[in-house]
Amino acid sequence: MVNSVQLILRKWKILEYAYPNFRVLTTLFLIFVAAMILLSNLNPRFFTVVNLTNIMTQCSIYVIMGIGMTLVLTTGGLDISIGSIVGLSTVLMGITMVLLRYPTWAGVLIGLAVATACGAFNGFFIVGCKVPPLIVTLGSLAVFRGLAYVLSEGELFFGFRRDFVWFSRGRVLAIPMPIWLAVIVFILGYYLLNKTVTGRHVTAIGGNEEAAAYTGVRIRRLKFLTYVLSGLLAGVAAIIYTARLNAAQPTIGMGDEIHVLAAVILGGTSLFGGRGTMLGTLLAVVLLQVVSNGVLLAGVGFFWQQVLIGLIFIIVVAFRTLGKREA
Amino acid sequence: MEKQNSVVVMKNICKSFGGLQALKNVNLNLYEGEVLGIVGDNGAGKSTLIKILSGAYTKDEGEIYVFGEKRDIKSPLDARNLGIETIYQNLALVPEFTPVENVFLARELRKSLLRLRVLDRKKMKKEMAGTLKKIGIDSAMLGAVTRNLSGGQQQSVAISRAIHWDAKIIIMDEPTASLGVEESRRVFHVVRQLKEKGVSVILITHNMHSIFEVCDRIEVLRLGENAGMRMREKTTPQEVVGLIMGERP
Repeated sequence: MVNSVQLILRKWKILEYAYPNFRVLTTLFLIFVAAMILLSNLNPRFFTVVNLTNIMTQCSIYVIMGIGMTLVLTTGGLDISIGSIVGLSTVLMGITMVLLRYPTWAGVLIGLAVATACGAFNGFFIVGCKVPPLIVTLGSLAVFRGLAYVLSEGELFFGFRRDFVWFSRGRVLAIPMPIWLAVIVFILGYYLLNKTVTGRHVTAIGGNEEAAAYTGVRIRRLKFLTYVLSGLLAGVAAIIYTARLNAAQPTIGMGDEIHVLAAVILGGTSLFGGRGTMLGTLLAVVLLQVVSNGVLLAGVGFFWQQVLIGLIFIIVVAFRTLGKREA
Repeated sequence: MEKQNSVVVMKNICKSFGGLQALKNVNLNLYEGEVLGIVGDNGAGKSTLIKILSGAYTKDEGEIYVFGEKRDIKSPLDARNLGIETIYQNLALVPEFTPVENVFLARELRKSLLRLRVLDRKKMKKEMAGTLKKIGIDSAMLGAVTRNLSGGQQQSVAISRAIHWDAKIIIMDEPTASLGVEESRRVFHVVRQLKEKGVSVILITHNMHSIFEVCDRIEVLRLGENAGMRMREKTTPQEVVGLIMGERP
């Protein structure tokens, strides 16, 4: 009995040695399961297909942006402008599709193109001019949001075509479109980070930029790419947002960067680069959403929900840091 | 002195950082299968010179010939593609990577999976185990992340990265600076093995003992200029120290 426990512990140690994310992911998963059980008992309406589908649909936006943020953080970068990119992209889609009556495909393409251009703007100053990412994206957070106000003149655009609203309300095989989009983006992100040379290089840059440079990794190109992808994915999130509200307004996406950043770090990606996990990001986004939904259903007010989520974030990361110091 | 083939010739290399001229018309010859020691005081330009050869820096002026052909080395990848591998003083390893990932960084092996090109981790691990065997190092450490390895093991990873690709020219920048006696001895053993295989090694060091233990030839730099070249058998540590300090005989 004692022997088998020791054996399991040793196996665990070996796993941890080889896969640094192992502990983080299992811990998150256990918290997730505990939260599910607790919340199901608190309110019978929690564990229903309708409610769970709802939660997953709400998650999709954060998962999509989280994949981009995970890539950026893994290189040792930071992008806090994604919320504003969502805002600007949304406004552009409102102007083109509602005001100018462009066809849906054109409006969507323009929305994505603008978001990608925003990412390239960040990338240009960070990679080309070597300005720290925090400074550039703090600035562009104001620039993109400001542009969203200027272009919309603070107005609300509503009444999108039905084929655009399909991006939010449409279902394929009974599963809502936002979930499909999130799943596709997640699979692509997972593949990119874990299975490709690009993913290895992105991680190497964050782990030891000098080592990456000396071995011949194309650092500048890859860093630029992560910001462009982060922008593009904010654009995808903007499509879901706009379709869900069936309206475009410049305040959409405000504050999302903090939520996404918190989830990505909670998931086990390092704020200082060199370690990124797509699975962790997915788990953390879902966990945060489950907790906020469950807490709301349990009758705790909206304001307390925020307090609780912030505390969970700090406590989980604190435990992780303590654990590392001992090892 | 027997007639030998030059594998690397660096001619009149100049390099400035801002207003500071780090290298002034420095020349360097590296022959096939020799161990060349480059010595000099701090700021003599040793590291700058080899970083130009390894592609980490680009030269301002001068010419580089590799195997008799004039080459333009603009990046570390250029140098590596010419068969020049470098072991940097700080090892240049990614701490969160496994030894295998470090060795194959920027030269990953891939396989085809459902028509997609994905990393072939199994094959990389197998090849690396073979390389470790060649230099007589236990491959048990392959399961761990580089950060969790000892200094000597990390050095082995850096050495494996250099020799794995059958380089003809290997540059070592202070390879024994942070190692114990036993580990240093193993590094020297690897250097001799490489030499036997016809690989040319450039060794940069502060350590007189290392120089007289493995080098065939010693090139002294002082204040960014060539200060003299000596054959190991025909010189003494005193003479080399004299050249480093700038005492003219």
